[in-house]
Amino acid sequence: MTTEAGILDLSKSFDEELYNAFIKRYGVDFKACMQCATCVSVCPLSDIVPGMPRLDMLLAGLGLFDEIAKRLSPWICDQCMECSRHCPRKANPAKVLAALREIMTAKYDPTGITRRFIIGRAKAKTSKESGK
Amino acid sequence: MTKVGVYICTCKAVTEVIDVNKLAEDVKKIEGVELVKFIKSCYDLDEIVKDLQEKKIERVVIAGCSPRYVLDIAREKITNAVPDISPLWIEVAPIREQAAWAFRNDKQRAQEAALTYIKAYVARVKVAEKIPKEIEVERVKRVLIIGAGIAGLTAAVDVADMGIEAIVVEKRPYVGGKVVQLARYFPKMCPPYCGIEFILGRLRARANPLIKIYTNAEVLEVYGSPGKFKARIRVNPRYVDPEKCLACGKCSEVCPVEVPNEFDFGLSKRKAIYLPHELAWPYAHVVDPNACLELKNPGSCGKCVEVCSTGAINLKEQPKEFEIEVGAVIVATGWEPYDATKLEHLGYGKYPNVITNVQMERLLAPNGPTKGEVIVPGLGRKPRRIVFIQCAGQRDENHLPYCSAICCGATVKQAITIAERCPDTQIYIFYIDVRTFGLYELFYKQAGKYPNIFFIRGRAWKVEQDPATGELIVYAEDTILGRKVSVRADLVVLAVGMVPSLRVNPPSWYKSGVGRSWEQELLKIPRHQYFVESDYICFPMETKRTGIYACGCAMWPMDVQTSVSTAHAAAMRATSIILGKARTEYSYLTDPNQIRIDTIKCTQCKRCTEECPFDTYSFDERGYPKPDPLKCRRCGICVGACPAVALSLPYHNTDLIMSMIKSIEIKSDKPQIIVFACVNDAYAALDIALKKGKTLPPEVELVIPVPCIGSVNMRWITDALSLGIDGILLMGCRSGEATATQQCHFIRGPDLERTRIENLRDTLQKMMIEPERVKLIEITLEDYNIVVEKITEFVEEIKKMGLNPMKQFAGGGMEYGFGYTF
Repeated sequence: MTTEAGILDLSKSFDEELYNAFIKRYGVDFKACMQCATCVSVCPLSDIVPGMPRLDMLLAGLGLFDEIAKRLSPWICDQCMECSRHCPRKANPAKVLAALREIMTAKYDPTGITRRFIIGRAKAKTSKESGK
Repeated sequence: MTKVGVYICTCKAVTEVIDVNKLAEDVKKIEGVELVKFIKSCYDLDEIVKDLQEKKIERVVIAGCSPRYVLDIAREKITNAVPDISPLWIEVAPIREQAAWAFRNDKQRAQEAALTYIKAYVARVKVAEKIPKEIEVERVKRVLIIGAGIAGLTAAVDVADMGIEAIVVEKRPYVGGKVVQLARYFPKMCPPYCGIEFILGRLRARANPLIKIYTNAEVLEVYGSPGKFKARIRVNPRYVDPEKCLACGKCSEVCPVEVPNEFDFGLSKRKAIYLPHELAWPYAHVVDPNACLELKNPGSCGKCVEVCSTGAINLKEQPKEFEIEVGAVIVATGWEPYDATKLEHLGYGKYPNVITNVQMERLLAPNGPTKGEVIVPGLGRKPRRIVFIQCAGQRDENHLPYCSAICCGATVKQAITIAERCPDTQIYIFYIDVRTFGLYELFYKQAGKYPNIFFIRGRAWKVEQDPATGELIVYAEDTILGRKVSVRADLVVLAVGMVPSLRVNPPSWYKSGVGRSWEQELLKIPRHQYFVESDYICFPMETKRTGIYACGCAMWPMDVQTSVSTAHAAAMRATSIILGKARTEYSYLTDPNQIRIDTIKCTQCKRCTEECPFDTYSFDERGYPKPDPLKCRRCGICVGACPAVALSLPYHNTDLIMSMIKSIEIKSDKPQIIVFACVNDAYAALDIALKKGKTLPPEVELVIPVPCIGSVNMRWITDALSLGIDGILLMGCRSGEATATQQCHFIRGPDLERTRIENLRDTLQKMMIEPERVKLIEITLEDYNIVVEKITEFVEEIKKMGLNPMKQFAGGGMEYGFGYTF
């Protein structure tokens, strides 16, 4: 969500439900990312999607899942694992991209089945109540 | 008539190039040479000792390697065996480096050079004077430590450990300084008061006869010489006797006055009579004279006196002043947080929920205003979102141009503490760079893994309040994302930097001092941002004043562990000046090389007082400069500065240098060049270059080592030129401010020399000599690959200029001074 003058409001755009589900399911190790961009340098697909997978790491770390939804990277990642092998902080970017594919599927699956598996029933309910 | 013995080393390096038998023949003809012998190596000193003991000779010249290798050993061994000989009567003529190696391809020139060097050093050793090996100086076994923070107390423990009395003077009514105001230490996350308890335990402060801690006291004045400074101290009244006070708190209950509590940085209130904090040492109440009604208006209150059951309160107490002699002083005055009200754009002072990192520290502390609970002061509840703004003023030319070094670590510590205590609170950290140096990197990585801590790379430029919700909005550009971002928060924490206390609250002793005041000497150096001036790398604890040492955040911003380390180091230096013997460069006090002034030559021009980097000079009753040998560090800059050549050091003076120059045989057909080289850098660089196979141009006649390039007197240069020397090259270290301080160990030797040479131009023009014949170049130890090229370049310039017009008058019997005054 962007406010006036094109400023991205990090607190309003923070997707608490997906962020908590992501942390719960995949752990916090990916947050050790220090944005050194080694992963971008070694990723064979980063010329197609600039900043892949560094930016996805950053956006996931900040809980900005709406921004990730605009990106192709979770969908085109081949899981060649080059980034994870080279990551100096062992933040495992390839795993994050795979996880984001799951999270994004859960978010947009019209049947809601994936959502139940990935995000969990209780969370889904709260989310429905809050009108999300 | 002094009898000189010359000992020629016959090691292979010398004999390969030089015909030592012929050299010995030539040396025998030098005036004053009594004895010429061959030795197997420069370290072969037995025969020399024997000849000295048998009184065959009085002075020794060893012709061999560079003095850098053998001079100290020769002087030490020979003076140990023959105690009545002065160490300055032993010299080393470097015929291996400067003759055999410098002209290794030209044997005839090498032979000449060897003779030139031996002649020069024979001449030098003849005029050298007798000095003892060391002198006795009376030194007071007591150290004054200004400031009782963690650094001051640590230094006190060390000083007392060495059996020296430690006098600690603390301005506040309690010890521990800033450390006791912190919530936790990083990265151990332990309570800081534990560290202070530990040190106080080690001090055994109440019973230890070697420790005296004055709280509520200040140093008014420090003057005198190292080894016996005089300090005037005032102990301000506490109005409560700490020995009688039970700290029951009844007095505070009845006290009607409430003022902001500076211990909590204004986050809470305290009474006019108060216990500084719950773990204060001394554990006793104290009266704030600025707030107490009774003290302002006697008879108006006095409730505390009535209620005190032990009669500890005495509102009529008077300040006590006394003077004490100390051998050394350690400045451990610490730091203050930067005044955040100057950061208007970040809303400090405008919005109550914008606080500084030191206030955050109090919010997290168990003895703080909220007992350690994270509660927003303006809202009375836990925050939903906290924003930390790093570099709030640091790395900003408008505020603090330096990095405060610890704020990143401190913020990471605070964020982890909050993340643990309030898992639902989101913490955003805006940073430019996370400078968690060394092993603190692991700590930063650990913080990153908390799900509720977010790092955003961008400098926050504005903090606003949302009028609808009252939330604070922080704006920045996320430079990694490449977009402007904003975060809404309940609490904004500004990570303000450290400012030296000396700058915030200039103390009274700041103006005191003999000659130049402390203010001029230690602090008014803008490039150090009022942190105490020192050579940052080589002797960081030493200030420009001998005998005065600095530690802790008075030196530069640092964390607690570095503070403690520097305190150990400063205590080491302070005790070494009190106990040390003249065996190392550091023991200035017992060094027999004492500066002397010839008042007949002195014109009272005050150049020496201006140029001395260490404030050695004051004035005697007749207006002549009066050097204090105890402050002097033997750099010789004053010897170089004096236009009347009235100053001399036994190991570096006009007689020694001019005798060497005058021993050179002036040749009317070829240019001759003298090089002055700083013994610490350029001389060593040249040694290495020659060892590595470089050769000097044949025009180089003599390379003279000097303690600092700033110690070369202009009169020596003009005299050398008038004698017929064609060019003079000076090689000193690099000046300028590329780093925090210049390279020169004596602060500004090359700068002073450059100015002098600039001023010399007119004189040389009057003498009809091209000013370009004198040149100062910057050669450091690492320049051994280019030093010979630089010398060759200068020689080429001189060759282009042609011969010195003074050559025709050579040997005209010109004594010191050409008759010009400049």
